[in-house]
Amino acid sequence: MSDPANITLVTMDGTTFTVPSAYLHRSKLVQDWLRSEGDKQAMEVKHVTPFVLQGVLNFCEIHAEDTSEPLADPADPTKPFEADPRDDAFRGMPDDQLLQFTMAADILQIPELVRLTAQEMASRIDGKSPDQIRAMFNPDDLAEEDVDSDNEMGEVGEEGAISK
Amino acid sequence: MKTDRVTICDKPPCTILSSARDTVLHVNMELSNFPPELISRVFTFLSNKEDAIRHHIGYTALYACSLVCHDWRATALPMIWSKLNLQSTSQKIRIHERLSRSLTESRSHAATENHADRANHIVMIDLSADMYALEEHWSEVTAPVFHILRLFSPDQLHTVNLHFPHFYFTPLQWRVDPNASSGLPSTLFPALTRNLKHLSVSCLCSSCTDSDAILQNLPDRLEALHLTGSSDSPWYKSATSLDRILSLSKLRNLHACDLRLTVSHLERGLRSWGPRLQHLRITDRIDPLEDALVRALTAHCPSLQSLGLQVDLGDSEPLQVSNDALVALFGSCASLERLVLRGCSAMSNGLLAVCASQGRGLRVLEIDDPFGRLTGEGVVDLSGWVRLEKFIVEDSVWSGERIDMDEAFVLAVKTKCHALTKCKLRGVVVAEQLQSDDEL
Repeated sequence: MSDPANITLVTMDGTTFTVPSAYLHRSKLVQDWLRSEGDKQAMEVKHVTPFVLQGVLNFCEIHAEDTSEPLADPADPTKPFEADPRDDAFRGMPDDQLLQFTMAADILQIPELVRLTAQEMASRIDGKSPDQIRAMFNPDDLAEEDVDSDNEMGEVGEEGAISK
Repeated sequence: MKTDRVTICDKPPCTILSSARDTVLHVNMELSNFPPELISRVFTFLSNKEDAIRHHIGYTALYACSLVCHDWRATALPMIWSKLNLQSTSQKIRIHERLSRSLTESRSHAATENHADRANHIVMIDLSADMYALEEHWSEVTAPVFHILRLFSPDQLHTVNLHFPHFYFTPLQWRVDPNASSGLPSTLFPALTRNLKHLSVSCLCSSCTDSDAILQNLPDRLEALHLTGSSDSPWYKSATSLDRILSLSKLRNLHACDLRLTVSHLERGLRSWGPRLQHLRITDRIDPLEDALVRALTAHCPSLQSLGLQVDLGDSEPLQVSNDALVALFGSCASLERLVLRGCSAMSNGLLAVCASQGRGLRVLEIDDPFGRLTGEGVVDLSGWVRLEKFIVEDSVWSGERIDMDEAFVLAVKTKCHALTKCKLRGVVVAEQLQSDDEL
């Protein structure tokens, strides 16, 4: 039986972290797990590395005493979002780490962290060409035939721009 | 228990009570591991106000994302093509022709080669009937637009915004023949609007036939309706059959402008709309702010969140709204957080006193009092305004006379309304913090 005041998380390689449960009160995944399987020794967080989980826990500790209402939808564009200086370091991480943190935030279902990382990804994408985005995030290639009809639409756009 | 403080990512230390951490494992994360819903969340933060044509013309960030990889493309295309704006002029005939051809080809490729069917993604459409003012190009201009509309399925559209020209700018045929029609509403309603949830129509009644085609076929599922009349049109009376609006049982948001609604109309509507109604905004020539309406709101609409009444009254006599009716309104509609009253003849310090003591949910209060009766004099109990963030009393007295707010009232607002971020009372700024109106 685990200590209910603390929770132990196990990452993909078996590394364990024990932290106060209160840190993770905004994680829907953890809260659901505590309700249904809280009597078990530790919660496995597959697909998350120790490095990333440590960062996520850091975010959770920083925001543990926040009193704002939990976000229902992290991507709700109507909700005003003010950058929190406490999160500056998260915005400064390299692109590949940002991807991992975004994924981990989604896995752990922490809406505030999903919004932070997703918005940071969006701001890095904004204004970049497809090639630049590929260089940042290393995706699979895109087949050329997929964009043929877009080229035609691009011509439509050019006509529109000319005729304005 | 051992406490291990670990510094990561150059952040302040995180208090880990214990950890067994042998290695720092880095994974070569690729976009292919990203679930589509997460990609979609990222894309939501990219500007998505543009319609499909503007995405292509402007080479927007979302459009660039659609060219990055298969997964991103699959997520971006429905977002890019969700909205189509056909606010047409004769200069855009070629654009609409090419668009029509592209959408048709995309559909045929989708059937045979498993490609995306772009037309199938369109759920919001902006249509302008300005094109019909171009009588000499009538059929030429409209042909590609109607061709595009024919690609839609009956359940596809959830938002339609229709823009008719003001009556004075309509084709001659519309001005002399009540049966003249653009054909646009009769194409959309009811065949393509079975699943419509949001409808906005400006300059209704420019054409009698077009207006009737809309008003008589408003779909049952409609949740938000914004109708602006065109009372200069001679077809106004024959077209404005409001019965269908009043019977829409799923309506949550109604903005009716210049439809000549009466209090009797509104009472009937409020009974139908009932607890679903959250936002009501009426702009008309008849003052709806009277006891009967306030009592109907109290009785039928407990979920009301915003109420806006704007009246063009002329010199009519003030109506009476009892304090008891207003107290009951605030008591029943606990979610009412935005109240905008413009030109209502019932404005008085008594009404303001009720708002101040009972409007506990109010975050926004905007009043335009052209009669100059409202000064705040005698209003001392502001205990209801604990959440009030925006409070405006416009300085627009019809007589031109300078009316000042009561000094004691202004002082009380300054000292007791701690949540205020924006307050301007008859031209005098009482509180102003940097905050966008959108947030309020």
